[in-house]
Amino acid sequence: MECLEFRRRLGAEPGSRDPDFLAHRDGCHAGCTESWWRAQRFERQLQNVLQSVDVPDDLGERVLLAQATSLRGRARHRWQIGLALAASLLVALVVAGYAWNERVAADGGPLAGMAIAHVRSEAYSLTMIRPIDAAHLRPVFAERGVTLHRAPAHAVFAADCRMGPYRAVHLVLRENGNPVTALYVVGHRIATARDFSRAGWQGREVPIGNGTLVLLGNDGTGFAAAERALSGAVLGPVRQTVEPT
Amino acid sequence: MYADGSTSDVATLVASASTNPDVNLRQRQFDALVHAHAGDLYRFAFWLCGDRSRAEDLVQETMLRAWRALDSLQDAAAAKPWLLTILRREHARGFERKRLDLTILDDGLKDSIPDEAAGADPEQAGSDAELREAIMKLEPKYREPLLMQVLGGFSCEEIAAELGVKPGAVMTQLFRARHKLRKSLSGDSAGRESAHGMS
Repeated sequence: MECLEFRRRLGAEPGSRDPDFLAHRDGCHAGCTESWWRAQRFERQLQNVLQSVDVPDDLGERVLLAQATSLRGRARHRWQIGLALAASLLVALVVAGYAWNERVAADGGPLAGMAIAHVRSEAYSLTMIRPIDAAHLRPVFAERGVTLHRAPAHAVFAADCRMGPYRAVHLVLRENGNPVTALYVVGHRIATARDFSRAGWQGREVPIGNGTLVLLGNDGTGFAAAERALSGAVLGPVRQTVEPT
Repeated sequence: MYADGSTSDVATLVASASTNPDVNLRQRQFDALVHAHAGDLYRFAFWLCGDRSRAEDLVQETMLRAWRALDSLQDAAAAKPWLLTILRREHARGFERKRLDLTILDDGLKDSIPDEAAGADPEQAGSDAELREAIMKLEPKYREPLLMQVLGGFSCEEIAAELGVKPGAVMTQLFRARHKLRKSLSGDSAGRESAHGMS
């Protein structure tokens, strides 16, 4: 190593332990050894000055406090996000439930759908016009385990049918010439009465006795009379019908 | 006391933490890092930015980043350069944001640095004060590699890798940094002498 290279290295890396560097330091008689010693003194001074900055006594504790605070803040933030998500989910469920309820109220429940499908499959019943007397009606009700207390007036069709999984008494009443289908579903009682409109049909579901009466027609005309008639038929003179809401 | 980074304190901490099963390992590792290196980080930060409160902020930000990335630290011996690198980048980000006015920092320097040499040899004290001022007056491109080398213990190659320049360029920057500092000292003949080495 030459003196120039040595001085360059000395200025950039005075603490170098490179063998060539150290060998030149020890062997040079052109002042490089003295330069090296001066450089070491300067480095010591430089180190001392750079290290002379007072460090706050509680710096470490403050760093740990900031870390702990940050951790708690993030945990709290995560908890708040979780809470917000749970609240959003709850609101969504409530809204969905309400919408479903409204839809069911508007369309009728499963019974309404089954009743419409059944009437479509027995559409000929709507063309009947000849009244049926109590003697013909009683066995139909009896077949479904229902005692006929009072024969409904204006009945033109009667049959014991299956409607989906349910057993039903299927009647057609003619009120002022308009056919009104009355399906009394035995053994399945809904909680509250409700009107519905579905697939071009107007309907009403009414809990009566231990079953549900489903009325179907082109419009609501004749529903009140049909409801009274079926209620009297199933329950007798003491009527316990529930008015639709 | 811990902030001076003494290894005996770290060892005591680790030993005491190991007897406390309630403190998880990650937290213990972080505690040890803080107590071992907060002081060095603070000094490094101070010489980078020239402001005590900003230096403390930098240490806080560095340590919080270190906490989040603690799992990437595999070798305990690499902890100090790792932390210094985080701090330097944090400072660079802050520098970019605030465009710190170095002139203002220089003006506040005399108030910021305590006169450690008070009571010592007056000539030495004066020389140290000149050196402090000279360090702060160094352009960042000279001061930063010098701090990385002297305070951080980085080699020229490591500094070059960190700064994204060639090792030869780092050698030049270090040479010039020292040359400027020595030249600033009153009556220093070595400064003039070393100027012949690399210009």
